Amino acid sequence: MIRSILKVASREWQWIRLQRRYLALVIFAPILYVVALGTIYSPKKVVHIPVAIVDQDHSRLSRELTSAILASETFSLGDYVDSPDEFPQLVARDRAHVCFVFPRGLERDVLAHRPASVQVLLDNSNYLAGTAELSSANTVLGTYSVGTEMRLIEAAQGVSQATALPQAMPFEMGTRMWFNPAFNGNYLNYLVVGLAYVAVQLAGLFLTIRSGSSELSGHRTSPLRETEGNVWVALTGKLLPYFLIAVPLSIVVTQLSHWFFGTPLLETHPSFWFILIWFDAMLVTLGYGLSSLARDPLLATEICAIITMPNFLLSGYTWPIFAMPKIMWILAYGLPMYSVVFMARKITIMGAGIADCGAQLIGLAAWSIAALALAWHGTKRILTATLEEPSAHA
Amino acid sequence: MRKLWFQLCLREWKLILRDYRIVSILLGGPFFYVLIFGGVYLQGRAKHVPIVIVDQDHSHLSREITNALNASENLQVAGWINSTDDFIPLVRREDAYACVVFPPRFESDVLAGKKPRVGVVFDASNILVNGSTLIAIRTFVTTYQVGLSRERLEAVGMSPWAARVVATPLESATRQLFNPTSNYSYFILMGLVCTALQSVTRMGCGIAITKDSVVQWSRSFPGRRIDYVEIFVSKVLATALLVLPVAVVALALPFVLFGAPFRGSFLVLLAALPFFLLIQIGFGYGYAALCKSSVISTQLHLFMSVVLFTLSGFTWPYYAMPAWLRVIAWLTPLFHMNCVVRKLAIVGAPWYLLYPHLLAFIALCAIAIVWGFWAVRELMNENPAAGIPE
Repeated sequence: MIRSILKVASREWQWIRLQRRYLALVIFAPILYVVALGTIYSPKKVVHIPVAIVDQDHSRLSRELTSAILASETFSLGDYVDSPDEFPQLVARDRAHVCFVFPRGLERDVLAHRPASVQVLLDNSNYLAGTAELSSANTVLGTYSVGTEMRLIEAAQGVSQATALPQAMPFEMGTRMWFNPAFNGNYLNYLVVGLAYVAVQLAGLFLTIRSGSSELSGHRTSPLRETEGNVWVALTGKLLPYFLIAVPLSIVVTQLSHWFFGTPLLETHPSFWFILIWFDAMLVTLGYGLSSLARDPLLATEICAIITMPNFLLSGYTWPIFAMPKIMWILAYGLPMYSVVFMARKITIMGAGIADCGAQLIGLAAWSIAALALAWHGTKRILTATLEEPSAHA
Repeated sequence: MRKLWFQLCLREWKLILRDYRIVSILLGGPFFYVLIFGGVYLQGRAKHVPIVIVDQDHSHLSREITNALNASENLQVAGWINSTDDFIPLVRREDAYACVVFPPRFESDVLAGKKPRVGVVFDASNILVNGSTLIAIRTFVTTYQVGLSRERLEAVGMSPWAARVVATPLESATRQLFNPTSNYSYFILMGLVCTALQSVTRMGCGIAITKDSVVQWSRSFPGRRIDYVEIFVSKVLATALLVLPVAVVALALPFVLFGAPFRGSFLVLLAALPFFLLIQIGFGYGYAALCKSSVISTQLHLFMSVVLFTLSGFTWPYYAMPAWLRVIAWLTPLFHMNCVVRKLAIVGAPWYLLYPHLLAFIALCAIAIVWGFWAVRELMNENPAAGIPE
């Protein structure tokens, strides 16, 4: 039996070696994909957002505030303008995405203990940049406000700085970021790690997307006689070479961002490798199953596109599943990406074990059974066609 | 002459419409993706993010802050736990995303002026959701800090008016322009639709061109001289006439079906769209010629779609990319299309502020025409056996 499997695997390996252009795509595209995404997110967080300053006060305070804003790595000077009305045009020209307006009499009002307000206009047309803008603007102005408040309390009550501080800030808020200590808007650590699984999924499916249909389209010269009609022998033999390519490829793709861009890998628990290898096995089986049933690699590729293209968005990795409409939950939980990216995140970033991945394991197991059923059915069809009509493949 | 062009287009339409795989990609794909993407982001914001409370103080103040947090639309107090150690299993089970900790003697320390610390522990492994959760918690805590500061100042004899001014000497009035409710779907949906349009057009054209050959063309028009310009123009024209109405409807769906705002001129968008599609058709032929296979080119487009979307600056802003990468972003048509769509729809920019992108479209069109023409010539000659599928 093992000899028969190896014979089929050897025959498959020879076929793979002939498909050089195809193999090059499936091997190099995921690697380039991760390198490209890692490079895009290499600045890690949104920095140097161009700001417009409307200084109608021209005071020491407004200049001090401007310096504090520009000293923050989040902001860089876009332009000084006369009125906030010019801001929408600056946004459209990409010359500013935040506008600080210091109104006339700002310093005078602060010193005279009258309410004073700094207006902040944010371009929220890009939500990700808008969140960074809001957070940084609040930090800079909040720090300044507390400092000014302390000075006012010191002056009004004649107390020391140590006494004024608890009055200005009765309690503090200490933030602790778990699992991603370098959070602080770091998209590299978060997005690239998850997006790598899109490439793993595409590569795993595409590796075998032609292996089944090529048997039925008459492209193979020697039929699967070695199997003597044993579906499991044919299936194992056919999938073995692809699996042996898929496993190292997926390891490289998932670890690339860690090697090149320093994304954290808090845990390399054996369960992670187990999940990754299981995922690879499921993908090559599913790709082969689709290929042998569709008979047409293009149609099988289209089916893969339907499964994979919206899969990352639906996985809940970026947009939480609880925020999706209920009908979308079926798709989110039903597609394979959900199980894998969540297990990978839990194990590698949160330090969880396999016991914490119950729901995801069920999802992956269900997909594995479906893939195996498809592949078994497809192989049976191939064997029937090959053994009953040998002359067609001669 | 008009009849000849009609016949040429008719032949191309037959080639495309007879193949259900091309039809499903080119004409069905955009709608499929719009409905899926629109459905995912239908709620617009991640509301009622579950948080847990560790209340070691059990005081009036800690209960008041907890109630305030629970009253927010963004947050939902999912429960109380005894210590932060219990928080990690909840995160792993996705039952909670943040934990607010009130230390023992919190209220009495505040009253004694000892400046205690409210702890916020949160799951930083999802930056998109938890970034906004942290902002929401910070806002509430800051509001309470200011309120308590005022109370303390009033307690030492300051008038309420003076206490208010001293407690917040410098207010920041923040206005979030263009998307005041921070609706995620308003900003991302249109970018995803443009990406889907790009991918399906390129895939569809890549498949269609590999199904044709000069032999087939000569059979369709016996005795007619092979003119590659005529073949290329007829192919581009016929494909564009098929794809354009689909693209218009797909682009209108986020506004019509999912309520996204459109503040600019739809006419400007309609003017930019044919350029974008023309580029995609040319590039679709080009990639097919490079790959020499419709299957490989389709798979290549699937790999490229995420990278190109990210490079388009729709989510990760253009100015935050490394300088050399900005040059590459500028050379990608999706970057310009997404800029045009975002600026028109969300910012409401007039057409004259979009001219750099419109000029880039014209330049990219020229590249697409040259590359597409070369590709059509190559593939039509290299693929003599290809026939119109039955």
